[in-house]
Amino acid sequence: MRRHADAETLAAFREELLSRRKAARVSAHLAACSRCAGLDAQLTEVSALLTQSTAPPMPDALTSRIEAAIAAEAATRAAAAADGTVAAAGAGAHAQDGAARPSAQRAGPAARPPTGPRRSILALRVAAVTAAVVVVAGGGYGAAKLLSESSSHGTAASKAAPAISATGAPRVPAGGVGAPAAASNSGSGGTVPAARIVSSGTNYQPGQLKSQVSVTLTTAGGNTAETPGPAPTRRSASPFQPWPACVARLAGGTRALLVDHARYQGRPATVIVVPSGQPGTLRVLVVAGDCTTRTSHVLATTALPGSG
Amino acid sequence: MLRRHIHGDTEAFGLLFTRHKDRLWAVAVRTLGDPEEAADALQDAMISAFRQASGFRGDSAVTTWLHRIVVNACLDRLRRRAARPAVSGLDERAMAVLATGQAAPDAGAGADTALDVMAALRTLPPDQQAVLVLVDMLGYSVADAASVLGISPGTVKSRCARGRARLLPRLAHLRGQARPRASGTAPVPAGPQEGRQRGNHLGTGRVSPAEGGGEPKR
Repeated sequence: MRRHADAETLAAFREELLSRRKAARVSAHLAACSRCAGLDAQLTEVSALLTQSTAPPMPDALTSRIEAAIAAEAATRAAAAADGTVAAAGAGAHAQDGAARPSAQRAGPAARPPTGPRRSILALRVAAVTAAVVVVAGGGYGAAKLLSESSSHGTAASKAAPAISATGAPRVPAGGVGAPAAASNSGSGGTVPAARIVSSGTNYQPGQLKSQVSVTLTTAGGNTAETPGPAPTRRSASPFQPWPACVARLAGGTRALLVDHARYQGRPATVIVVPSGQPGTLRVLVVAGDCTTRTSHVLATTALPGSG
Repeated sequence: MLRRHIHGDTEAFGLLFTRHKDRLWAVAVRTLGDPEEAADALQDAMISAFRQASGFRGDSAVTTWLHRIVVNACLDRLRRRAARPAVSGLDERAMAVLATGQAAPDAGAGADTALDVMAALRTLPPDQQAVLVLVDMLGYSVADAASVLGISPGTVKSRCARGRARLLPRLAHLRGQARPRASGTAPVPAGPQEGRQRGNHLGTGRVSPAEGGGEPKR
């Protein structure tokens, strides 16, 4: 090889990507040309520099943050497993996130129709979830539509679907187990149960989260009871009010009972109350910011005794 | 029963996360070059993985699959970032954090070098960044990197080669800065590094680069 080799050729040579003939020419040239040998040595150094690059270790705070997020996801998933809207919701959205790519394949074996015994166990379980908000016949489509619209990136519903179908949850039969649970919040056919989206102005604090959420729930519930603190400034029972984008993500397809755009330790935060999947308890999630981005930072979670 | 199933999955997933978090973090923070964005990417990826998984085994297939989800989450962010005009202020601040995040013994020149290396890496196409992070920075084998990225080993090698060649002129001013491998300076999660096939392994099982290869089975 008469001509000098360029860096890319040398790099390919080092990775044994060149044809045998070309590799032999490069090899011979390297032995004779100090300039190219120098370039070759520099290539070694590029890899060495990369090897030596350092990065900060994983912060402990991040570990607990992700563990909290997984726990929240598990809780909402447990609740969502009992909620028949999820299967429909999944159908309305498409995976866009690259991380969700394997989900299509994953859904295959997991999406087997539930077997007989499993179905009946599930039905019992659904009846036991007092906090579940059940969509009765005709409501499913509306809920699915709402969910897929609210999670504008399509991540929540689409990613939730395989996980939920993995549990074998069937659609909740209309008028069956739905009756007891839907008492507080049901709509007639075609109506999506109304969740409350408020801006209570509450500055939630770690130690008082439970009591403060209880107050907000009571206030936002439309009861006339006077409660301390500012009254909600915005309230909507409209099924067409856009949900904060992260609610669908966090709720995993479950209908949130309350969304409060408020503050937590003085900083903007969104408090979300969802069914926990445990009879008689609600799950409270505190998310940083106004919950409109794809990313949701769960700041705190707690359980709350709830009547549903 | 259903609850126990979900509960069991959660516990298994928690274990999986605990076992791999440092390696996954190392991948994310180097791929994105910004600890905050890496944190977001890692959290998104873990939630996504948890949603997709219906059962876990602690074998290499799961490890590969987890890595793939994290890498894909990071690459999506890199590509989105590439699509917008660069916000150089943020990048510089982020890389300063990165460079000074190391233990302090040789913070001066070492930090500058690390900063320059990260800045140079950021100029490469995302696909080349990803292979160089896995293979050169973190010491994954070509085969493991190929499994994680779902591409052939040959493609890993050629992307490595092109990336290194492209980095060469951008790192020319650092010539001579590459330290001989010293015991105290190994990156935190990667551990001692010996030669090319050092450090990180996904496990012994070979995994098909095909998309379905790395999935846990029930």
